[in-house]
Amino acid sequence: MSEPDDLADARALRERVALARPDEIVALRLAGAGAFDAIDAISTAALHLGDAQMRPSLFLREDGSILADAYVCRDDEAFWILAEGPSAAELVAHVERHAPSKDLALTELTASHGILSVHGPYAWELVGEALDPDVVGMPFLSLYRVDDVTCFRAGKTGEYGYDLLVPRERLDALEARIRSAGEALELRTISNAAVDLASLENGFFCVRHAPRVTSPFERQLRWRIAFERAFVGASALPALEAASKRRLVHAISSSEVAVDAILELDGELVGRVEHAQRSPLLSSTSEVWVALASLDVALAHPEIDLVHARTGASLRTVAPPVVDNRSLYVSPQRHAFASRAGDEFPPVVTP
Amino acid sequence: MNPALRARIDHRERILAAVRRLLVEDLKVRRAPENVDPDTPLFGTGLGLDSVDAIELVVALETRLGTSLPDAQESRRWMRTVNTVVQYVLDHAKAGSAGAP
Repeated sequence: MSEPDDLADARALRERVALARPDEIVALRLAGAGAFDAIDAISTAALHLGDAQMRPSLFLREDGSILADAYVCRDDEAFWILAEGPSAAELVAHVERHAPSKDLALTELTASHGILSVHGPYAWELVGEALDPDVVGMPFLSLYRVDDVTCFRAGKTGEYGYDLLVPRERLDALEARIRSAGEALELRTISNAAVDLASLENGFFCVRHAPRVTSPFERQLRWRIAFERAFVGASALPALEAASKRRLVHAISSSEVAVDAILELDGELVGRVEHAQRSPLLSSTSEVWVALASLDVALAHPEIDLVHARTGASLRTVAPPVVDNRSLYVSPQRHAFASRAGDEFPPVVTP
Repeated sequence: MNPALRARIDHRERILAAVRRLLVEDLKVRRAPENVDPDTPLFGTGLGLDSVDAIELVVALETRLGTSLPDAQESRRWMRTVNTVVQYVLDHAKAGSAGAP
């Protein structure tokens, strides 16, 4: 009997290699004398970037709420932005509105380029084979150009991850080459929803999960903010922090959990479910749902047992990640997909 | 909130505060302890620690909290976020020593 698609997607991403075509990443390239200042004005993270380095950041609205989940990347004297959240038009308008200098050449690449994403503990092996062997040596959070393809090593799944920005006229040919090389690695094309679920299981920020929670404080994203800097939204942060009485935490349940479910502790209302999904990987022996719950800060810790007010179903808060990423143990210097049967790795899901 | 749960959360918050202090004071993480969220990743993204910091973290956990981390492979599972380290300390520290000032 073949396994369900969602489980097959999850196993490919967690144990082998998976290919996706993300359709919600907006890519911008900024050049010109005003490029640095344009990104510096909107990025919550400091831009101390060497050539070919990238960094996770946020772009905020004036009220401090999250507009975009962004990577900012330096490419010699130019910069890249890879962002999720706003549309391409919204992002371009945001950059232009806040750019201090008009000496800015801004190129929005959605129409001219597509993105292929490769994820998994052996993603490095596939991208090295299909694109360029030097890709295998790329540090985490860096970019590398191979002809007109720009390879960003980032990933939001806890596994090795590469986003390939490819001119549209070459997209199908490169995808075919990846598929061909991927046959030896049991490559599977997976849905973008499977990538998002992996992000949830690892505790990483995904703009499509819990979209109502837009405070960086409630989302535990202080680490992306250099508070000493000036950027769009910075002046609103102290008031937003003072008003943030809840925190988004992970929870698991053996029962189906619905968004908006009210959560109780000892009969008192203490929070609400903002996102929930069944995890096929964790559900091998019994059903497991992974949820994001917005809880009173005093209770927003792991190992708190909560009750769904209407159904009586129980949820327990946890400290993500809820999987043991195989990519922590797979090394390009010591391992290969073909010889993996001889390697000993911890299970992805702890029984 | 019932007293037993309150006590458990208080204990957890003491360990969390100790781990935050350790990150700032011993590993020189350049942010105020209160700006280190519990689910902040330690390596790669997040606080951006590296392999040298990982060794420092193991030493500091043992020195400050009396918690020995297991072998390197097992340690990788626990050194993911601030909260996973706190959880490890709670699960493995000797009763009465963890979180001592």
